[in-house]
Amino acid sequence: MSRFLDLTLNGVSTGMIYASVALALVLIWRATRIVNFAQGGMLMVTTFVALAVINKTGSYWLGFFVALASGLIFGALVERVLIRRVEGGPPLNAVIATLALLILLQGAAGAIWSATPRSFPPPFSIRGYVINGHRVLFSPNDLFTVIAVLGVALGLFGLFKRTDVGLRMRASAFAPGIARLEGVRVGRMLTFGWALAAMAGSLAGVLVAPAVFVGPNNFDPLLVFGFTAAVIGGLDSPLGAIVGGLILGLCLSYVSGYLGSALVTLGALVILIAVLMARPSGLFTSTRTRSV
Amino acid sequence: MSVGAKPRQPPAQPTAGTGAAPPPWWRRPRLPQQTLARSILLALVFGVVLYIVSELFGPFNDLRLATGAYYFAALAGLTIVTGLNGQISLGHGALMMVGAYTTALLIGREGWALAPALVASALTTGAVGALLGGVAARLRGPYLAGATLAFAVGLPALAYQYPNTFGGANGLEINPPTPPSALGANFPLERWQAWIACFGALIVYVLLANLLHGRSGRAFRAVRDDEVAAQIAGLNVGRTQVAAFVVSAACAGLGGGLLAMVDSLAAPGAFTLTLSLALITGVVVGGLGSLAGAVWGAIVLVMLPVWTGDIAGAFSLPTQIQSNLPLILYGLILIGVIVAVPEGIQGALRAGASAAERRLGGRGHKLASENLTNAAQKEG
Amino acid sequence: MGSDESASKLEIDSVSVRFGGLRALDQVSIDAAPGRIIGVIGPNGAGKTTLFNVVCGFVRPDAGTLRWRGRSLAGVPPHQLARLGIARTLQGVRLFPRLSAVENVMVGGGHLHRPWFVSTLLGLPRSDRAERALRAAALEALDQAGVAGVAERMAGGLPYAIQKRVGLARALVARPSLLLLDEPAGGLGADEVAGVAELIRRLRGSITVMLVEHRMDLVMSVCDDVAVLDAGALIARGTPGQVQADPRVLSAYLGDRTDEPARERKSADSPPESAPTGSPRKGRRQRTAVEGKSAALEVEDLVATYGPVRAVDRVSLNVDSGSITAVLGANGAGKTSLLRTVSGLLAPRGGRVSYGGKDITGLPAEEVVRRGLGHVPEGAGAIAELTVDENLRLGSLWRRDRRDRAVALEEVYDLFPRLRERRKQFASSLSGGERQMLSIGRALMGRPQMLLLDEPSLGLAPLVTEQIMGLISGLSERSGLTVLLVEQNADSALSIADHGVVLNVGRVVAAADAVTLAGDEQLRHAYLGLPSAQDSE
Repeated sequence: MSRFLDLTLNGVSTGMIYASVALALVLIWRATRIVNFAQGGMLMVTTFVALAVINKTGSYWLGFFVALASGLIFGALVERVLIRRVEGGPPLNAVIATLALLILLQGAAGAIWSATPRSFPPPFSIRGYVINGHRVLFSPNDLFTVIAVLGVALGLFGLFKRTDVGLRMRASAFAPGIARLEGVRVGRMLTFGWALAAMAGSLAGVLVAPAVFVGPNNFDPLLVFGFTAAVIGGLDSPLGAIVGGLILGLCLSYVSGYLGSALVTLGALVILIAVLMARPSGLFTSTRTRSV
Repeated sequence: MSVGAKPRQPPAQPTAGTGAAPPPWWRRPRLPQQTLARSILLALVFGVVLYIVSELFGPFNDLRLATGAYYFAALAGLTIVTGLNGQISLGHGALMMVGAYTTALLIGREGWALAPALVASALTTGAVGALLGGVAARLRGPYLAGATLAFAVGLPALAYQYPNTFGGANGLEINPPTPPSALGANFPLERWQAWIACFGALIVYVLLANLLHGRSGRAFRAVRDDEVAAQIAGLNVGRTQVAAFVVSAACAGLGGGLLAMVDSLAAPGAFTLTLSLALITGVVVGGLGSLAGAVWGAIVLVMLPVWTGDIAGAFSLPTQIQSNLPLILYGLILIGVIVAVPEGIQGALRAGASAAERRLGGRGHKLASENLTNAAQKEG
Repeated sequence: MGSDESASKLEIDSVSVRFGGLRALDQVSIDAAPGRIIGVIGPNGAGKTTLFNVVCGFVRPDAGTLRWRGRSLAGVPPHQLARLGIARTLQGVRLFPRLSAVENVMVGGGHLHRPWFVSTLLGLPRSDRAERALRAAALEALDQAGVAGVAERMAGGLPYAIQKRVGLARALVARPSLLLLDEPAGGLGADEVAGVAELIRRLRGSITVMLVEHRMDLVMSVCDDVAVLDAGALIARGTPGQVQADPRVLSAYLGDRTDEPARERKSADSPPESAPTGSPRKGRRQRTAVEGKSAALEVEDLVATYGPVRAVDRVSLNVDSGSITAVLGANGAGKTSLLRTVSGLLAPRGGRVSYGGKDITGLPAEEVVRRGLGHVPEGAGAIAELTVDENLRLGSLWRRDRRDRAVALEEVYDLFPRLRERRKQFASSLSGGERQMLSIGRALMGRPQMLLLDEPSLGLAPLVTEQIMGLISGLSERSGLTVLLVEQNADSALSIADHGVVLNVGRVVAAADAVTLAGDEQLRHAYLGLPSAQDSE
């Protein structure tokens, strides 16, 4: 029973990290109808940057906020420089562009920082809480993870639904031509969307770094799981990203605990297929379109 | 209400579909009209060309030829499902893995000969493709990409989880095929492997060209262009999409089997996500939707790592940079291609050819190879 | 294919369809007698396309039966219809753009000559024969449709009218017994419509044809039998003449007689409740003369291109402040391109555009709107994924004055009460007419001094078109809104306009006041898609 509790709590905290990556992917999808396969590389780079700041200044929180800020800047930069050029075309071109960026970032990171994994300090204790004399697999750091992701998610949700900026961004995503006719500076909205998304990704990067260490390829599984979580929840739904992340985190935690850690990726596949067979557009897609 | 430029005259055909006599042989167009005859002729021509080319190569280049051949098999399949049928697959590396392990198991454990093992690999992978296609038919765009991505990452885990059957991390070894004694005692093994691989690639090319030239090719493309209109026209969209997956999986399976033969090994390390990504890159850079594009893509996949490695060595860069430089250049070149020349090499060639044709003011000569590949590329 | 004609009967019996709370079809019963041509007409949202979708298997009816040749069509998926002898064209043609024309048609006949998979794979002669037969049948169908010459051209690059014929060939190649035509005249000029009508007439007797259409000229000249739907229910059935005279039909759909010449209809307008009055033209012109003419919009030698094609070829025109100017011309004349260039969606290659005295040439669209120039785009102007409320708010976001935004919102809802009823609904659930109103309302949210309207009547029933035209006219009256109106439907445009400009192949070929233009016979016939005086009843 305590094992089940351990796995559940572990699943929640890892699930929130997947949710953050999923959120990043969902935001970019909604803004530009592109799946950002480079997200794993981007958050890897911002985590490296955060680590450099932490090592230089000794302050975790400075590194934390630098990670988020550099995420914002990085996202905007990628959108303006690269994505602009593939935005209008066939979707596969954008897939290739982001994949190419991923390869480039991994190569560059390896060249600059080498492939040796580096450790990343957690902001809070990673020793589990003690409940009823048992030490559970859920620590203050895990709690911080959950709160941080929820906070960012709620903030973004409010931004989209209730603010004018959010309306502009949604209009830019759904119908850029019409949005322009209504005075929306669509280009800026897309850049902004990417910036916010990359920030969410950076958050996931620093949150998971203590566990996986920092290296060019250490964040690859995170991309895959984040994507799976986003797809489970439905790429159009930020809420779906959170729920999808949690579901995936829990399921994979159980798979790892009861069936063996090697089967985790296969487990993700099975879950993904099961969800998509039942709901081919994910669990939370809302608008229906008439095709005939 | 006839409009526009004169259409290319269709070759002399009986109009009512009955068997009226074809024109005498000296008046026929350059290539025979019977598909089968044409295929055999072209296969012979390519075979001779490859023979000559491989005679000029050393063993290292023979290896590259073989690698290019099995990449082509996989890329040709991928370009059909992604380019012609419009379904993005990021999982073809895993399909190659199915083919490779099937071949390795049949040859290594069951003692099968190479050719039947390869055929069986293609068929087995085709069956897996049917399953994958069944799932894929219900999915669109990014959801499909995600499912195939998960497939690509998840499947190798089986090798690790069941080491007794699949050899774990070390994989399954097979003995390389020995050249027949008729070719001489000193005939290089690598060249023999290259010939086998190229023969396999040739078969893939011919069979696919036949398929794409007719109803199946049209059906794939129609479903890609407009699913609703395709249904109205009588096409079963789901079945068409599954068929595309089956065909492409069979090709990937054959490619995987050839890979196992060339490497004498089927191990999970060769089938990471990177392979699937490389395949997608190959079809795009080469030109989506055409078999010629798959050829270019295969060349790119083989030669680009070689060239980038040479550059890194030439500038004597420190190890840390040197080992990562290929990746960096790979990414940059890919970005350059996708931004500047998104229709790929084949598309650019075709655009250049028709521009030249317009400038020369005529229909221009049709190259022999165009007849075969024209239909497959007609989607433009 | 060669079955007993009397058995080729389509029986639609008490079919009902609900989409959520909306009754799309309400116990509709229609029989299509073999060999006859039946037209189905009705206002936008009446359920015509839903009816087709039900017959084709895209939509499952909640009640009622469908029988074809005596057997039920229930549960038959769309792709099996071809085998049953039913073919259909779709709204807007929908060819496969990256296949050639003949290939498009061959797909339509795909189930006719079927070789085995293996023989295709190996390239056996059997599959060659099947291919040849299929190709021959396809070429014959293209010939029948009059477009044999474009067989090898890529379908996506063909002119719209040609595409429609290829689409027809694609439906006909399989020799269906029942042909369903969805808006066969949509987007065509008068000449082209006559050609299509001729094609359809030739089918009489050999194929049962059922068509859905807005264009009365086609329906009346081709159909033996007309069924009228309104709000999902069948309200009339009979010959074209009977239906035209039926008062129920008139009130629900045709409104005023639409085939009267434009001149006479002007003064007879009795406006519907929700739209402001369109007052006689005389009054407006007097007003303008009193205030003094000042050109709100000046366009000088404007050039715009799509690739090598000159869509706008040195166009010059002036639009006086407070006036309504109509831009007319056949399909492809460059009307929409002109508007898009003026409003900044398309970058000009040459020439000048100035508004209110200030040069706006080449300004991007998002800046142009800030100068007081609103644009209601052609077609799908309402953003489906946003609610009605959000769509409207979007139109005022660029304005600084927040309080006025709320005021403007209420004004627009006053103008369009139907939108207020649906303010929380997603725009995707609105009918075509409502979406057009939403589009206009959203543009009005920016309180523009000038409005560019691109084909507001496209796809709408005559009554709704009249309402909208009346609305525009009234707005211009009351608030001095300057309007540049692009319209295919010259009649309705000239009925409210002060001036008219006629485009042909990107050039201005005529510019005059609306009365003169409406009366010029040659102009009417040649460019406006209207029948000349001797043709109309």
